[in-house]
Amino acid sequence: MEENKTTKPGLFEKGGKLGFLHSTVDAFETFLRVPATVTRKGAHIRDAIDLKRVMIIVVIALIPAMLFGMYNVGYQASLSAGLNWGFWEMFWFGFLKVIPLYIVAYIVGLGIEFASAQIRNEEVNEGYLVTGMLIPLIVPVDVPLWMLAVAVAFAVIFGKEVFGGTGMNIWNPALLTRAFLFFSYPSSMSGDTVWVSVPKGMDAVTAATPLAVTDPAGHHTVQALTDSGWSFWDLFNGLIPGSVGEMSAIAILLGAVLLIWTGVASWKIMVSSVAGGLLIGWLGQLGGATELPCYYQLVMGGFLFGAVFMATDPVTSAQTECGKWIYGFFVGALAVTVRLWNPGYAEGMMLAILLMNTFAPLIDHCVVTRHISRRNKRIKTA
Amino acid sequence: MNTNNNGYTIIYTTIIVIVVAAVLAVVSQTLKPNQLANEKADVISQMMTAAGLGEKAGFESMGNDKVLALYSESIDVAYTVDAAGQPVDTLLTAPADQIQIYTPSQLKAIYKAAKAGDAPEKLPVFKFKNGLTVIPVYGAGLWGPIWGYLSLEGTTFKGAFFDHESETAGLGAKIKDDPAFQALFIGKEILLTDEAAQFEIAKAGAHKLPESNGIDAIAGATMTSGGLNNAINLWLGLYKPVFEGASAGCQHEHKDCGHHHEGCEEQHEGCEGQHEGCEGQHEGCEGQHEGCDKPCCHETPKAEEE
Amino acid sequence: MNAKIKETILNPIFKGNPITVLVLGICSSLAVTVTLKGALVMTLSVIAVCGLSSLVLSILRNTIPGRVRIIVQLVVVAMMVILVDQLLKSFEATYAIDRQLSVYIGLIITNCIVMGRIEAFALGNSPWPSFLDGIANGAGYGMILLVVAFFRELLGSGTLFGVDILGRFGYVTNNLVILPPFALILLGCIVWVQRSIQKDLQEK
Repeated sequence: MEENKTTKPGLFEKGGKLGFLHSTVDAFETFLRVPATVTRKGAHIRDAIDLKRVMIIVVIALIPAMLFGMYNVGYQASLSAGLNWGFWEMFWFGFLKVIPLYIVAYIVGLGIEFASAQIRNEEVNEGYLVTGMLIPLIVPVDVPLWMLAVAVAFAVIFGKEVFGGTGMNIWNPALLTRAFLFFSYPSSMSGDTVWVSVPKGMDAVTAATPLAVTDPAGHHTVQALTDSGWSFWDLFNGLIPGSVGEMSAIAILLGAVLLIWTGVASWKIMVSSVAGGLLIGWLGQLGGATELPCYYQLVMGGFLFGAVFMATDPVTSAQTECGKWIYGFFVGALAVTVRLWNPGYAEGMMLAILLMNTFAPLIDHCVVTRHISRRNKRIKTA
Repeated sequence: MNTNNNGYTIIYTTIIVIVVAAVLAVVSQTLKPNQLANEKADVISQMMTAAGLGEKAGFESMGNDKVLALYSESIDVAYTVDAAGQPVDTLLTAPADQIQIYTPSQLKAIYKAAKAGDAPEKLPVFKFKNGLTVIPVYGAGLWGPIWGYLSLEGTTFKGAFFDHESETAGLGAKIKDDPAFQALFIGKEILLTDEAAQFEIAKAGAHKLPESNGIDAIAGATMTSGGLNNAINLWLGLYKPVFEGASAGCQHEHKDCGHHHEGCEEQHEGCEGQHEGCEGQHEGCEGQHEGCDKPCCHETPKAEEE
Repeated sequence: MNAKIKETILNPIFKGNPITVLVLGICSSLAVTVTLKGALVMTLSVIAVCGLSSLVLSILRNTIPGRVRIIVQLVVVAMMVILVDQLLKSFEATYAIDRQLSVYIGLIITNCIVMGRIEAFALGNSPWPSFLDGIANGAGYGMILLVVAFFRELLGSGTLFGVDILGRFGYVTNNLVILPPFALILLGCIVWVQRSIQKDLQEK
């Protein structure tokens, strides 16, 4: 077999009979495992960690948030509709609600990925595995599937493929999907009727998220949260209305531990964005913009989820070590700034990360230039 | 020819500027009457839209003449009031070329005075035969002025139309382009008790908006919505005496009316507008002051018809 | 000569399109393309301003003092813009649309296409070709405007020229399309399409 390949191109190789399907076949051949084939020329270094491994670890890190999200969807439905469901009933309800989102996100996204890889005659990249895993977790559970499909198509085509595919994109495609939904169909993405899904045939439930309850126009107090029946620990546990997978700090922190332990995501970005959020939250408290203690900012909305899974996206975040601190800090700081001072948006994490994605190359550029000029100075003085 | 020496340059530019100025002056003068007529018809159609007499687009396709004719037909009385709500002048409502209205630039003057803390000398009030009173509002949006017309029956809103100079298309411009937004005002109430918070235009979901005077703001147009909110609250504040007269004067057992007979006539006409049933009473009313109020201001004027 | 005039007219429409190739006039093409009606009036206004300004300045081209060249151009273009604005305001049919376009008619003066074509073409060519060049560039600009407006009104409001098209099929209007950034995305797509057809525009 091996010798055959050197003499004649295989069925699916370049030049082979079905060579045009090269990308697709290759994608499936290398899915989750390394095939025995090796590069035939040039030196190359093999490491246990490659893009595929990295992506799989992120996917695994997301599983706690996903499972908790499914349970929470059922829990909220049971709670608001006054049904006394057991654990498995709640989970099953949420499972049935969330799985269609996954199916749509993966079919549409991967379909476009495969098609564009074919067109460009490149390998299919596995970046979308993570993107597709993230998307259903950051949208309201009841988002119409066709809207999700349109948004995924938009994000993958205009956020990723036009820039050259995985690794070339400026913005996090999953967040771009959410941004598209947010700006295109605001009535399905915000307000207080979209967050809780109830069984068919029942009236829609009004349920504001903790962020909405404490929005600038409203009452920025712990009391407002208590009135809605939430303590800090409720927010921390995550049994509250919101996007599918963003709610539970516990589940997200489990994922964060895995990411940091394996070194897949930058702990610097996570730490600095939390620091940025806390600082602005604290300043806001001092300045009278909010009465909430700053640590509340971390457990409300998508802050933690964004800081752990979105801001750390290796492609769209800053690359330099110093740049990561700056980038992360601004992500957290801007997110809380939007929350506290912009009455138009209750949540600012999505906007903050997308904005800092845009500036990440600039931050890197500045860091690198400063390094170079410092070294030059050292050479001169030496 | 040396076109670069100083003398030539100065003479050349002078001539160009004078020629251009002359052309523009002539054109401006010739077109002025047309533009004013257009503006007048536009303002009137906006008021009639607020008063529920049709749709703005319908008035636009109708042509200026018909709009003016319709206005003369459907307006009951138009007049100005002073800061205390007392009538000052009558505004002509016919014939077409003499109709008097308040253009946005006139509203701007009132707005500026009010902002500076001066009590307005004259505020226009338009009473339509369908019983609705139309008042203007004017204020600052995000990029430029915004203004509009509110129609009320007593202290209840029955319609609104807003316009703007340069709000963002698709966002702030929705105050004009989105009939659904304008429809939100229908059924809301003026709070005569609290001047500062007449209206609250804010994002719903953020927190609960008051039922009686809360309006869901336009998504993505925070500044325009806020500006409109301020404008409406400011003008409702200016018109407060008028509405106090409209509600208090009527409910307080006709005493006000009996006091000043001329005022009665004024109020009577106004009242008439509010209830169709009154029209029959027109002449009879002047004679009997107390009777004036009954058919006009009572909750059940229809009874008088029979 | 005939071929040259043909080239003068056709070049700005496609090969040398002011928006997609010269990348001029982007600002207004984001602002006035929410509705087709607005885009159409804007198109006609720009064609008029472009053509007439080029014509007048081409007639004057040998007399204009070099040092105040730009100021003279500015005065003439400003006059044309004001004339167009005044005319739109004084007709019953166009008054409402002029109000809707608000400042953007006045801002035609800042449209780089007008001054750009005067500098690049009208000052060096005789009046008739200059007039055609101005009109053609206005048309090239307007064509892109109309294409963008077509998609934005159709997808954003479900209508075309205010007539309901998609709404009757239960189409849910897309708010993002109405926001200016989407016009930029559409422009990007148009440039994409044009560069795929016209390979010589692609940078190596």
